[in-house]
Amino acid sequence: MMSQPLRKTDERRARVDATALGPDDAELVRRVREGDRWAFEAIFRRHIDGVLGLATRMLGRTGEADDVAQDTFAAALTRLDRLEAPERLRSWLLGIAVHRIQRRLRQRRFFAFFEPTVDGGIYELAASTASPEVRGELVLIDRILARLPVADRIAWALRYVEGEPLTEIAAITGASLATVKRRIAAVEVRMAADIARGDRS
Amino acid sequence: MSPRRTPDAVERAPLAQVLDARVDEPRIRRVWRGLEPQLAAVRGERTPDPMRRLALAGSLAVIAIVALAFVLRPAAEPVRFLALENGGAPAAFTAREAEVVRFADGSHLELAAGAEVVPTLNDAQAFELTLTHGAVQFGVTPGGPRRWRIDCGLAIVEVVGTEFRVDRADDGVRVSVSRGHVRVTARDARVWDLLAGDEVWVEAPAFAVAPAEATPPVATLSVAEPTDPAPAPVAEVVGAAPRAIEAVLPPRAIRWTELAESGAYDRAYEVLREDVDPHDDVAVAGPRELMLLADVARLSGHPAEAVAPLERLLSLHQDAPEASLAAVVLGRLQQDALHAPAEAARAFERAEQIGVPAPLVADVEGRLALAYLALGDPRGVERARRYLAAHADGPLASALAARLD
Repeated sequence: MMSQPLRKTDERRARVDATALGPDDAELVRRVREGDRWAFEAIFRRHIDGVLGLATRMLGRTGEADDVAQDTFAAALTRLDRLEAPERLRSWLLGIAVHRIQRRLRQRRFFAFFEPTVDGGIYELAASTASPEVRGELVLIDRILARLPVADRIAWALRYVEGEPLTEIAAITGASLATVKRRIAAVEVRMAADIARGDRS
Repeated sequence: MSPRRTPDAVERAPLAQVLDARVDEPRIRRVWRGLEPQLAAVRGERTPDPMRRLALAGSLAVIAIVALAFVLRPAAEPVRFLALENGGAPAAFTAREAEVVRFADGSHLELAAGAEVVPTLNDAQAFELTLTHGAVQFGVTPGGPRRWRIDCGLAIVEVVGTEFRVDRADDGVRVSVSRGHVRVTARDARVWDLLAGDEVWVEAPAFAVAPAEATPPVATLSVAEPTDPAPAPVAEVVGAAPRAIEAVLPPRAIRWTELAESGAYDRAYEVLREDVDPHDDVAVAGPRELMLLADVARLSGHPAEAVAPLERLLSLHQDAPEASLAAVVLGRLQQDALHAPAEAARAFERAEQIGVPAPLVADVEGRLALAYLALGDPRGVERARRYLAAHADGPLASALAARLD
C-alpha cells in the first residue's frame, strides 16, 4: 500500500527556496499587470522548471512537453489579469498545464484507434541507471495508466509521481478533495486488480 | 499480508528516482523563444521581419559553426565509443560459423552461422547496428550509457540493457526477449514493447522482400553532437511564431469528419493526428464515426491503421447497419493491403454471418475462396468452383482458375 508521496525530493525543496528569493509571486503578478517587462520573464524563469518537468513526466515526450509549457505560459500571459489569488500562481500555472496535458492524453487515447501501443509514458524517461526489471515495471505502469480515464490518471500521477499534497491536487485540477481521493483510489484499485491478474496485455 | 496494489517500482522508491526528466537550459530557452511573439503582441511591438530574422539566424549559425570548429580543433578529445573486449573498434561481423563477439562493457553478440551485423553508429550515447541477415543473440549489459538500436530492415529494435534474440529472414523478423525489455518498431509504425518471455514476428509484405543493404562500415565511429547548439535553426525560430499565436487566438477547429466527408482524406488524417477535439473521445465514437475513421486511414495511405476502428465497430456495434460493410472492408484490407489471408478469411466469414450486402456477395464469395486457397484450406476449392460456375467472367475468375490449376 502506498502511503508516501513520491516526490518530496531535493528538487522540490530547491524550487521552494528559489521561490523565496526576490519578489514573491503576488508581487511579480502585480508588476506584470502594471507593465513591467521583466516581471513576466521572472515568473517564467521561476516556474518553467515545474511546468516543464510536470509535462515531461506526464507526457513522456519532451517535444510535446515543450509545446505544453509554451502554451501554458502563452495562456498565462493573456489571462494574468483574471488571476484572483496571485499568491496561488504556481497552482494556477500547473492547472493550465494540466488542462493541456489532459487534452493531449485524450487525443492520444482517441488516436489509439490507429496505433494501440504504449507510447510516450514514464518508461520513456527511465534513467539510464534503472535496471531492466524497473524498466519492465515502468512499462507495466504505463500500460495500466493508458487504459484509465485521463482525469484519474492525472490525479494519480500528481500524487505519486509529482508528490503533490491532496489539497494541491484539488487546486491544480479544479476538482473537490473528495473527487481527487476517489480518483486516486480508483487507480489503486485498478492497479491492484491488474497486478493480481498478472496483466501483461 | 495485504495484496500488492502497485508495481514494485512504485513501492520500492519514489518514481522520480528512476526517471530522468531533466529540464536543461537549451529547452528552457527554446520555450522562451516560442513565447516571444506573444510577448511582443501583448506589448504592442512588431515582431522582426522574417527575412531579417532569417539573415540574423544564418549569420549566428555561421559564427557558431566557426566558433565550434575553433573550439573542437585543439581539444582533440578522445572519442568515447564502445570498444571490443580487446580494445579494438568493432567493424562488420560476418560469421561463417557460430561466433561470439565480446565488448569491453561486458555486452556480447552470439552470431549464428551465416549471420552478419554491421555497426553504423558508435559513440558515447548510442551503439547502432544493422542486422543484414541471420540470427543473433544479444546480451546488453544493463546500466550502460549507450542505447542499443538494431535495424533489422522490417523493424527497429531498441534496448538499453537486456537479453534478446533477433532472427532476420527473407519473410520476416522475429524478436524474442529472454530478460529485461525491448521496444520493436516496425517500418509501418506499429510498435511492440516486449518483456521477458515475449516474442514478436514482423512479417515482410509480399512485395517488399528485399535483401538489406548494409551501411558501409567505414563510419564506425562518430563524434557526439554538442549538447548545447548556440543558435536555434532558422525554421524553428520562424516556425514558432504562427503556432504560438494560434494558441492564444485559436481559429475555429476544422473537424476531421468534415474533411473526410468531403473526400479530403489526407487532410483529415493530418487533423486527426494534430488537432482532435477531446470531446470526440473514443468512448463516444459511434459506428458511423468508426467507419469514417477507417476510411480516413485507408484512403490516406495508412491501411494498417484502419484495422482497429473496423474491429472496434464489429465488436461494439455488430447490429449496426454499417457492420456488414465494415466486415467486408476489413477483409479486403487484410487480403489486399496487409497480405494476411487468415485475418481476411475471418473477416469475410464474419461478413457472411452478419449478412453481406447483395452487390458484394459475389466479391466476398470469390475473395473468401482466395483466402482459403492461400491457407491451404480445402473449403477454398469448393468455393472457387462455385464462384467460377456462377461468375465465369467475374473479376476474380482468372485468379481463382490459376490457383485451381
